[in-house]
Amino acid sequence: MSKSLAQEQLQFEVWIEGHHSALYKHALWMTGRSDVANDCVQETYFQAWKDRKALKDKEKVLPWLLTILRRTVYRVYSQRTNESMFVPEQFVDIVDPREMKDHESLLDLISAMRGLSEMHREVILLYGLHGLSYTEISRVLEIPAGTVMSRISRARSALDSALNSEPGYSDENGVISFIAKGRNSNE
Amino acid sequence: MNDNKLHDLLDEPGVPGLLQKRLLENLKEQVSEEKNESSEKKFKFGLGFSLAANVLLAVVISVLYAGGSSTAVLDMAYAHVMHEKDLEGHFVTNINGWLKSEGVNLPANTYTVGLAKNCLIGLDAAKHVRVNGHPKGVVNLIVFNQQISGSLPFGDAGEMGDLNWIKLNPKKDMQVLIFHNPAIATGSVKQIIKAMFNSQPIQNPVEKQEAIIL
Repeated sequence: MSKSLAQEQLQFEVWIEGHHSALYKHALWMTGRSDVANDCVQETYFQAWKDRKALKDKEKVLPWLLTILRRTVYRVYSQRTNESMFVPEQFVDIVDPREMKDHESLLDLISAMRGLSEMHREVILLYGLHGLSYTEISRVLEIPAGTVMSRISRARSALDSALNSEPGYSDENGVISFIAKGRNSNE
Repeated sequence: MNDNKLHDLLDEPGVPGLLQKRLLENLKEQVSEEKNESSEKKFKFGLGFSLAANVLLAVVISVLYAGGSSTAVLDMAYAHVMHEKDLEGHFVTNINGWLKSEGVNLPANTYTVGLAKNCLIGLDAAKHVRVNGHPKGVVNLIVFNQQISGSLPFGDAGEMGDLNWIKLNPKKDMQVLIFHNPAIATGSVKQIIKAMFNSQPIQNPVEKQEAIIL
C-alpha cells in the first residue's frame, strides 16, 4: 500500500472514531429510525472516503461530513416516501428514557422534534447538537448566514411551541403512550 | 428549554456498539478495493501503453514499407552496416555450410568473408556479409532470402552517406543490397556478386581480374 493511502486511511479512522457518534445521532433525530440512521452513517462515510480529496480544510471535517450526511438523509427521505420515517419504537429502543433522570423532558423533545419540519429539525441539530457557528451552518446548508439566523430563530420558536403544547406527555401519534407502555411493562 | 439542556437531550441517544466496527470494516474494504483498482489501472495502463507502442511501431513500419518512404529499408540496412562496420568474425553457426548451401563462392582466393552475421532489417531476416579483399575497399552485402519488404528508390541504386548502394537479384528468391566504397565501380560490384552467387563463374582470368579491381 502506498504511504499516502495508508496515511489517508489512518486519518479517516480518526474521523470515524471522532465523529460517527455525532453523525449517528443527527441521522437518528432526522429519521427517527435506528436502522435508517445506521445506513445513513455508513453511506456517509462511504461517500466521504470517495470524495475525500474534496475536503480542503481538515479542521472542518465535521461540517463536511454533515453536508454529506444531510444529502444522504434527504435521499433516504425521497426513497421512503411511503414509509414512516419517525418510528417511535425505533427511537425508544435507542434512547431508553427510563435510564435518564430527566426522561420526561426527553419524551417531550422526541415528540416535539417529530412535529417539526425536516428543515427546522435539521437546523436545530446543527446548532443545538453539533454547536456549529452560523457560518458553518450556512456552509452545510448552502444558504446565506442571514437565512441561517432567521431559520434557527423560527425553528426554536416552533420547538418551544411544540414543547409547550405537549403537557402531560400526551402525543396524538402515540409516541408517549408507547414509551409509557414500555416503561410500565418493565416495572 | 435553554441551549445547554437542548444539547444534552439531543446528545442523549446511544450509539450502536457495532457501528464503529462496521465503519472501520467498510473503510478497510474500500481501501483494499482502491488498492486493487490502482494496481489494475497500472497494469491496464502499462498493457495499453505497450499495445499502443506496438501498434504505433507496426503502423510506422507498415507506412514506411508500404511506400510512405521508399528509403526506409535502405536507411535501416545502411544504419546496420555502419553499426557493424568494425565488427569482424563469423556469427553464423556455419559460414562455410551457408555459403555452400546458398551456392556462394568467393570471387577469388584473395577474397575473404570478414563478417557473416544474421540480422533483422525492419521485419525482414537477412544476413550481413562483408567481403574483404577488394583493393579499393570492402563490400557489404545484406542478403535477403525473400523479397525485401517495401520498395526502393527508382533504379535500385544510388548513394547513401559515404557509400554507394545497389540492389541485385543474383538468384531466385534472393535479393541483395550491396553497400560499397564509391571508389569501387558499380560494374565491378555486379561482377563480384555475379561471381559469388551465380553458378557461372567468371571464366576469363583477365576479365575476372578486371572486375575485381575496377
